[in-house]
Amino acid sequence: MLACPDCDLLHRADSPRQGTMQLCARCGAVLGRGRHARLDGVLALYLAALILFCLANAFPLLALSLHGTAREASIPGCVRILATLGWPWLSATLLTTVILVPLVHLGGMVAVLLQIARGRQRAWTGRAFRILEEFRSWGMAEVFVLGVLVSYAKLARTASVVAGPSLYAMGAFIFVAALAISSMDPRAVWAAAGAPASDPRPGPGGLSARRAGLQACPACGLMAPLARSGSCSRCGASLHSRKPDSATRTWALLITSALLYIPANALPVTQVVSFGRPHEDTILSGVVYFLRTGSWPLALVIFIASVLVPVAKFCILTFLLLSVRSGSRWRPRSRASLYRLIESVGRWSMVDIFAITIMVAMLQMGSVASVVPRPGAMAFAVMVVATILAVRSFDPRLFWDTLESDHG
Amino acid sequence: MDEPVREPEGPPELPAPAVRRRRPSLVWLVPMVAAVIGLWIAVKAYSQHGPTITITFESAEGLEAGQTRIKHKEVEVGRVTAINLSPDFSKVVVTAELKRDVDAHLSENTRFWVIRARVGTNGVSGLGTLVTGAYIGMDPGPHGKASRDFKGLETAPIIAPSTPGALVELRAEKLGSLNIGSPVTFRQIHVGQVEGFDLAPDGLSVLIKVQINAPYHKLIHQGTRFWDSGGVDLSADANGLRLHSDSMVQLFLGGVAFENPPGLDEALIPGRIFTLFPTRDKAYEPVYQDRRMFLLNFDESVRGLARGAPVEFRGQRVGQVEDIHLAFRSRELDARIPVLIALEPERFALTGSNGEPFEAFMARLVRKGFRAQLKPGNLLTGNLFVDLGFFPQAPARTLVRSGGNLEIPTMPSALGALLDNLSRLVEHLQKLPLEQVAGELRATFPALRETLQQTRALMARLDSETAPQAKATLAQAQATLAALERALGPGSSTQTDLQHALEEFAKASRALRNLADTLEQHPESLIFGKGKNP
Repeated sequence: MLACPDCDLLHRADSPRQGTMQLCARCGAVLGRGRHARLDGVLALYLAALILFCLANAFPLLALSLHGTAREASIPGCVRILATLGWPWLSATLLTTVILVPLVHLGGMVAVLLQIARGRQRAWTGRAFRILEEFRSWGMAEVFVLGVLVSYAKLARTASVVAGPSLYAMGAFIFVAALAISSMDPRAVWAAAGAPASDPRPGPGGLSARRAGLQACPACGLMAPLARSGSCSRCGASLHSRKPDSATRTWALLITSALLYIPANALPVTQVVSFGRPHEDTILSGVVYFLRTGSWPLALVIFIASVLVPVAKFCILTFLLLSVRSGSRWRPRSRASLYRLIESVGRWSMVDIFAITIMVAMLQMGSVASVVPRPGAMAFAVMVVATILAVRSFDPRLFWDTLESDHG
Repeated sequence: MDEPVREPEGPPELPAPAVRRRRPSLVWLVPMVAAVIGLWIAVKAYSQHGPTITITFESAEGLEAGQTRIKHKEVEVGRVTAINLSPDFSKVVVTAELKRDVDAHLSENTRFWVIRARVGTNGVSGLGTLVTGAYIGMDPGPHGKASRDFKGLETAPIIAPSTPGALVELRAEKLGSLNIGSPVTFRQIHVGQVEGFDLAPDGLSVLIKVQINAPYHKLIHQGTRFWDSGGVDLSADANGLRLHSDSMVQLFLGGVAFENPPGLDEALIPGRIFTLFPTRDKAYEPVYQDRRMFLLNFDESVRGLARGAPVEFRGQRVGQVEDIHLAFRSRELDARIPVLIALEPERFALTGSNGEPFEAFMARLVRKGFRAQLKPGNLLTGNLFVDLGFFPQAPARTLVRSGGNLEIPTMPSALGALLDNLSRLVEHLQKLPLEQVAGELRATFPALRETLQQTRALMARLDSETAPQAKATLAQAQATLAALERALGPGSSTQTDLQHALEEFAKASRALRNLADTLEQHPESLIFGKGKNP
């Protein structure tokens, strides 16, 4: 028995067949996938991803030469340069999202899967897996690669840039990591890692877990009686039937990010000094630059990631919040789809921030050519984090709660 | 945990999840986008990817893989990607990647050379290499067989032939302060630069190649004069001191200037090698290509005669002294000084020669008394020059060949000849019978005095008769004339005396004329007395 994480509908917990995926009968959320790989196969993929990731951090990402001066930067080098230039928060953002989170996630997954493969049960296995899964979405290595490509295209206009070993390792890493994530079945891990899944009997109240007097663990999905508070017996996550103070938190974060959106676009994000002449760029002028120089695919990517996605998040989230507040019954399934859309694309907006950090790290040649971040970059980065948090704090189950309360 | 209900499956009324064919997870989206962009960048880079070539150099000084550019006309056309040693470690093999559009221009005629920092007047390019490091210059050259492996030139080629303009070759005695890049000016306008120089094959001069940029190359004519405009030209002449310098830049860096003398604008014949004169004044001296060597043997001192001293004919320069030696003759125990002169036949402006060789013409001249003589050119400095002239009285000589050169006979110098003549004149004067002549003259004087007194009395009488009788008629005058005739008639004493005196006077006059003739012909006799053979 499992509850849909998006609409709380209770389903029979059939194990999905190979080549198929299970969708929620009510909201269309993906409940499970028929996977090919067994867990030790997934372990191998994670191990490969970990090795690639270490390689990616050990070697230079890009090598640049301009006017006879050569320079190369690795990913940790970018972090260090940003910190020494007086942008500790930008540096910390990069360090967290590109190095720490992916590294901890990969290492942790290897450890957890190794534990499972050896057949030993440890109390921490489930908890570790929960924490790893919760923080996985803050790892943005793949968005970082996009940013590297964008900065590569930008730098190649003025200097000769050579992709270093790290970029190839990174490119391979994001594919292996995607393969590892998509081939892993969290339910199998939970089944193997945690306490035996013993479902409580649902009450006769209705279709949703809540009305049946149950609640699903937000992390591992283990069913528990509604009355029970505290933490999940399997993974240790704090139990709650609905996200606490969902609407209030979402509104607060949404307004924060909307306010930040103004300086993020109005203020310049970078200052490029070329032979003593400073030139400031905003997010939009970067898009225009790519359009003008004929790199329309890059212009499109940056426009979608940096302009369209934040605006879409504001509009959709505002609409969803208003619909919940007014008790709308309009097509809850469509609204859930919209929610899942903004949830999945949230990270993309970091592309420009990552591109900036690499440009800054690469071009530090005094008055000949140097790039420094401007306050707009920080505002943009915080805005992106705030929108991600806003989307996460929203609870789509509220759509159906209105409908069910009508029935009830 | 506190409610362990043993029922693995939910109640039968629970709905089963919808089953759909599996679609790829959203996790793949970003890697896919990254792959697409990466592919796009790669395709774009490949589409601009040009040919890869190798160039062999002796040394890789100043070259650096990944940084050194290959430039044509100061435009980057490629970049050095790798520098390796040749398999036998004797050469350097530079691998370079050129731009795509260069491919069509690469041929076996393409040349590459390294351009390193060069301090010149074209400061921007020269200084540029100081900042960006050396780069490799490329000249596509004429079309030819396609090639990918080249042998680099160790020095910059004389010119990139595709630069509009003209290449002019100059011959100079020495390089002076010129260097590659030294400016070429026309009326102090920068019109080109020195592209290269080399020693002439015979080692006797320097060949300098200069590039005259379009459109100024049209200024070059057959008669254009080039001179080294570097440094200061200080000259002193009758007008005083003159200081001439073209510009401050050329003062320090040297340079070439040229001008077109008026009237000399024949079209340039390709392959003409111009002479680079050391100064502008030298450039304006007429240039004669044809020079014939002649030998002069002097018996006297040539102090004051220097190499380069002019050889003149009636004040016109016809050549110059090339060399001066000393030749002692052991048998005769005396010395002569052979002087080699160069005559420029063009200066003689021969007419009606009918192609007669200059030497034959000279032989005829010598037969007619054509001689060379040393003459003081400047009394203050004591400089001598060689004067050619006709001496009809000179002993007959012919043009003889002496030691490989034709020898023009010489005359003692005018100064020597003058001294000689003076001594002879004194000798003559000493031999003159001056006392006798004086005595004769003294004897003539009383008779002369008497005659004069009588003449004076006559005149007084004439005066006294004529003056008071101012109103006397022509008849009286007639009578007076008749009386005069009587008084002066034949046989009268007055006439006899007068005749005698006149005869004595005529004698004295003849003697004086003889003396004058002698002095005229032999003025030296005044000092040296009459020679044995006047």
